[in-house]
Amino acid sequence: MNAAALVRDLRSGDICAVEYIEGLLARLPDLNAPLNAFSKITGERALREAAAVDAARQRGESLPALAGVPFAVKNLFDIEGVVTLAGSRILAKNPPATSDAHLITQLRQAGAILIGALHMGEFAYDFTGENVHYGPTHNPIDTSRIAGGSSSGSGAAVGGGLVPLALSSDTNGSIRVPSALCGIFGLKPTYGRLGRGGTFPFVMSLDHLGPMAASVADLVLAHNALQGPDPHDPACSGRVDYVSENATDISPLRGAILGGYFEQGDEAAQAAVAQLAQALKVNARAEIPHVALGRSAAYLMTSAEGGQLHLSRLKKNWHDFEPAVRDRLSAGALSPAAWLQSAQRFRRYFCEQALPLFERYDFLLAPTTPVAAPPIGTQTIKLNGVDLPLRPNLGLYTQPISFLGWPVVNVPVYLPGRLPLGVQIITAPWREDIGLGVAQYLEQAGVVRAATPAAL
Amino acid sequence: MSEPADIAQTYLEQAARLLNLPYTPQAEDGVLRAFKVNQRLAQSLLDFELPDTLEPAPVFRP
Repeated sequence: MNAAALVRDLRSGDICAVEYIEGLLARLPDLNAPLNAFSKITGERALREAAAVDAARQRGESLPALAGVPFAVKNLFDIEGVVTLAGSRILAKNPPATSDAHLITQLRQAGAILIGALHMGEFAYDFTGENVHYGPTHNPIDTSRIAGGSSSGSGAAVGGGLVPLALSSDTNGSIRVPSALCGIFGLKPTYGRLGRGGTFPFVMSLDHLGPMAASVADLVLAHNALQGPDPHDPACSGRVDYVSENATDISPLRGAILGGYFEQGDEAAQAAVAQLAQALKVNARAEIPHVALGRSAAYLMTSAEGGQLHLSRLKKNWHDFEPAVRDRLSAGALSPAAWLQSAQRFRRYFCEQALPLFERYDFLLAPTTPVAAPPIGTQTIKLNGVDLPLRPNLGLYTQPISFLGWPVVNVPVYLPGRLPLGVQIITAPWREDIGLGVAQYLEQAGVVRAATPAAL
Repeated sequence: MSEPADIAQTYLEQAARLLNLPYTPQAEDGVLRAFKVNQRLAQSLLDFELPDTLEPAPVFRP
């Protein structure tokens, strides 16, 4: 059941929140076992919050937008009384968090019920969800395959129907990649849209937070609930732009397919984009200038800023890092300052060159990943006939867009007989409404869907 | 004259000492490999001329 339907049933009294959450908590261990999505289930707290929802209804109060909706968070979000792991062993020694992250509070105020914390790639430096400390998270569509990362538990939990909604982070693609590989919807909002207070950072110049969900309606509900100022995030704009829950008329919107750089993936990735373009009557093609350099700059900033953030831990806990993460963080920490600064200056130029695209188009379409979910343990993928390392190249198409800070909705596309693929609906800064509107249209037209089982 | 690979290796060892990182070169050196990726990407950016007046992009609001 999606969040919007659940709220309707709770409001009407057809469902009691406590009974519903009790049922979910009873099923959760069995549902989670084949996926390894949850790192912590906060059952007592969930029942307390559910009881408060039932009490409010019995008092005749009008229930807020997400009343009774269970959600879980990537384990880099602070949860009061729970140790914030960020996918690492190193932070497991820390004391529990003393308060909730800003966005958990935002969802709580909208009535949502926190169920627990979700596994992720170590320190979010990952696109696969193959965490050496806590084991890989499995794809709910085919458990022999990766869920994608770094928000692997979020992708598996929503895709597997364990929760209708999850909160995650996206530095270079970590919301969009697992959303694509697990066949669900994900929103990476505009950089600076949502407050990051109370979350463990990775690369502050690039870190975004956002929701993943099994329906567009639920993404919209979450988007509306999550916005607002956050005094603990200096990059948070505090802007609030509500998106209508009703379908919008997309006929005046002008779309284009991103070509060139975004056409390196396998045929299925291109076919997924073509299917959406056909449904949306999009024929135009556009290119983002210097996009390969944009990705290079994002890659360098990630390595250098992430490396500096973790420098003290690299000194003290060298052997407790996952080697692949440690190698890239160390290389970044040791890189000359001129390299990082060249990336920061190029970012401004890149943004100035790319932004005029939105004078001609309202939205852009591109594949989310170059391939569908590979089997766990896969090391390389073939792109244009060349074998390339899997880990960095899963983010080939997502990394330049988050570098620009533009909002993106990932929509899941099923081609006959194939694993799902994601398509990015990319819009101008602060125009999440357009991306969500296009996604709403596609979902209602039956062109995109999440294949979430009815476990709820 | 040293090959570029040797320069990168020597630089890494000395820079790691400067920052007190417990890095020691190994046969299959993941840090060196990752550093060379950074080096290649940075070179493409350094080769791209930008106006002196271009402001860098990190967020700062006083």
